[in-house]
Amino acid sequence: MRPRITVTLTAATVCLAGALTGCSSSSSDNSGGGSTTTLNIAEWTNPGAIQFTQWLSAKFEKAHPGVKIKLQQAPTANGAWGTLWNSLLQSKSVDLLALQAPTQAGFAPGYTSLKAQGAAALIEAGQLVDLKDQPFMKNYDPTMQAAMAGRNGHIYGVMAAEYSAAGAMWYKKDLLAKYHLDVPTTFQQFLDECETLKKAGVTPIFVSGKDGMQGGVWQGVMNQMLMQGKAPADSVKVGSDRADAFWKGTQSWTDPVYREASARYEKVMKYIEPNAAGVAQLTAPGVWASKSDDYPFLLDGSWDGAVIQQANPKLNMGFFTMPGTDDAAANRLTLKPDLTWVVPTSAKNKTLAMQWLTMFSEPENYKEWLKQTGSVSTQPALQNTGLSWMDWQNAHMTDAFPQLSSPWVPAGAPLDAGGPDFYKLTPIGKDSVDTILNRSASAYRKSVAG
Amino acid sequence: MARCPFGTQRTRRFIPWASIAIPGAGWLLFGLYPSLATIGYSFTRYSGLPGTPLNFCGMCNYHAAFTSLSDQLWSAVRVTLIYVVGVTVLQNAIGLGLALLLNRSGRSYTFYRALIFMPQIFSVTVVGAVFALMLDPYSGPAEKVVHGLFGTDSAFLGSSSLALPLVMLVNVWMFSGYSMLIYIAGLRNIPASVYEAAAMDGAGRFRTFRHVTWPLLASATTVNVFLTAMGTLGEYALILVLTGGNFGTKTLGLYMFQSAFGADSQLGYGSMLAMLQFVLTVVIGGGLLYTLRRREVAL
Repeated sequence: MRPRITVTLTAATVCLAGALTGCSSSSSDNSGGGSTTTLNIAEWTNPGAIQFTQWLSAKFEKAHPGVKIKLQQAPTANGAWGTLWNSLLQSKSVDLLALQAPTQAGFAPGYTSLKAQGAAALIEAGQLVDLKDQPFMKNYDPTMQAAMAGRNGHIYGVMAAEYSAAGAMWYKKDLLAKYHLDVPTTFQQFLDECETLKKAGVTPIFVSGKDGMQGGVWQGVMNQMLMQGKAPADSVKVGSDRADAFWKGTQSWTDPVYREASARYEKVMKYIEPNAAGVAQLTAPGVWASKSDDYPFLLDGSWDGAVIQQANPKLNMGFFTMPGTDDAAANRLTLKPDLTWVVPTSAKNKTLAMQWLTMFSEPENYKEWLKQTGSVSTQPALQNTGLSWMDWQNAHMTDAFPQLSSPWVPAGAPLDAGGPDFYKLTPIGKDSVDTILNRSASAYRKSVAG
Repeated sequence: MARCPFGTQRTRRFIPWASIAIPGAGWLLFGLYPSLATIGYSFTRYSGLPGTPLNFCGMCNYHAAFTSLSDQLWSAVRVTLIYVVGVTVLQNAIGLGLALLLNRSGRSYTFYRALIFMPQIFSVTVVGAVFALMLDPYSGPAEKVVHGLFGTDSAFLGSSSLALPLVMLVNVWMFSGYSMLIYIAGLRNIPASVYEAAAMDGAGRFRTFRHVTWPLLASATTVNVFLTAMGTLGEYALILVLTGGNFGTKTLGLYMFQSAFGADSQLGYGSMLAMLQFVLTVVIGGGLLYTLRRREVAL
């Protein structure tokens, strides 16, 4: 009798566990009851992008009776967005997902033994639908899309947004005019302007040091120096050659170009606001926008245009890329690949997702997307919008290049291994350039040696 | 004879077994399975993304943690130990102080106890976000207070010397009420006759506390110290929201979370760190229990 009871109990327990497992992995994505189908879209929180997606979704629902769109979002801060999209994929309850473009740098060569991460890992595992032959892809530049979300001749996403991040700088037009200053074209001119402003009792630059936005200065200088005299299309090769050279030990963070970029970084950092290390990125654009008589410059990506305008609609703002060298021609706009729509192979409503992307890609709708997000157009037929702050960007699009990819580093590697740790480098931290670069070089070698 | 609401005698026999099977299934699914999976994942380079391969690599993650990435690991362990010791000592001292102060009858004392306990029920994320805003050097009220009182300013959570103590203080603020309640329960278990005897012997307040209250609070202290230490050993959410692990605040728990679910998205490496954290927890928890239990017996 006892063995029977034990067997019964074990069987009941396992069955219940199995039933619960079944419950937890199943997804209820498209049955709102009756003939309603739910199209599940997920996107990280960017006010402009969310506003547009809601607007387009309402339009889509109107054009497709019986379809309801459920938009899920989470901020990128504190890993909230990463957790959401991973959970949605695990539960197979998302039809259309926004991810960062994996780019070719996401696929480290076999000799590194590094495994792909994020969107690149999903592509390698066959978890994303090939969009190459979808009619809406004709609206985009196939070479660019293949470089950003392609693998082995297939294209697994449509990159819909690009922003300026490295060296990206917002400015207050009226404040510069007040001190008879222009948008600087060389590094020395930028420093001279900062000095003029400082002498006039104005703190030149506002930056969120708590979230590492100061690194944009170094990234901007470094990108412009490494791409000096090279065609925009060469940036992918420059980035991959650099990553390769780092891995093989023929380049290091102590090389002259990185020392020079760090020295220039230190010169710029003399003009940031006191206690910048405590300022969070969440509050920085709002604080900067609300103080119209101080801080002429804000170090922040071009994606924050809508946030700044919401904080102070009357602010006459402009945008430029900080000149990192004293050769005006080398001080080019760098573009960061950004939001890329992907359709998981586990999506229940692939056809509807494709229809939504078709509507998204229609020129009139895509133009609205550009206007709401401040993104650079990835559709060759469409020019950037006439947003007032985009004047400098529009004038410098012809020689703009995609931001260089970083050297490959293994999971768990310290921050130092991927480049200077700007939290420890003066003035945010206390360590000198020499200490920081030597530590980075050593951390990189040590982390790849494993 | 009235009909039994729980079915026939035959079906009633299964009720006890069902009562075991249901929570047992929950434990299998939500306790044992994730634990075993974590052990398994720690030997892989699994990204944690659905459909991606496990990439079994043996001891590769453990090897990397103790060789090429050891600096990062020991730095996280060092911060964790400082965090655990600091929070445990401070939270227990404040909890005990509050308990001594508020262990009285009356509605106002009930109100104060509830007020002090309240932060415990808030979400860690909400508390973290509120304190991050309060400690913003340009838009938060803390800067105005510090400037008004000391004529100086600070980057607060962006200062390498202040960030860790501030995060610890927020943690202590949040959970001191919990320690207070346990100490109050301990205080109420001390018989009044012991205090009367001490008073008759002419013991003052300090001597009464030192020789009567403190020794008789030994079991409450054991519970409090153990729970606080175990709670803070795995802490990552509050630190993540307040500093993101920067400015010398990256604990082992946060290192694990960021490795497994952050930009790295390497569940394999994160699982290995979770295993190391488990070992650290067993060592510290076991050591604490052994020491505190011996102390209780000695008293």
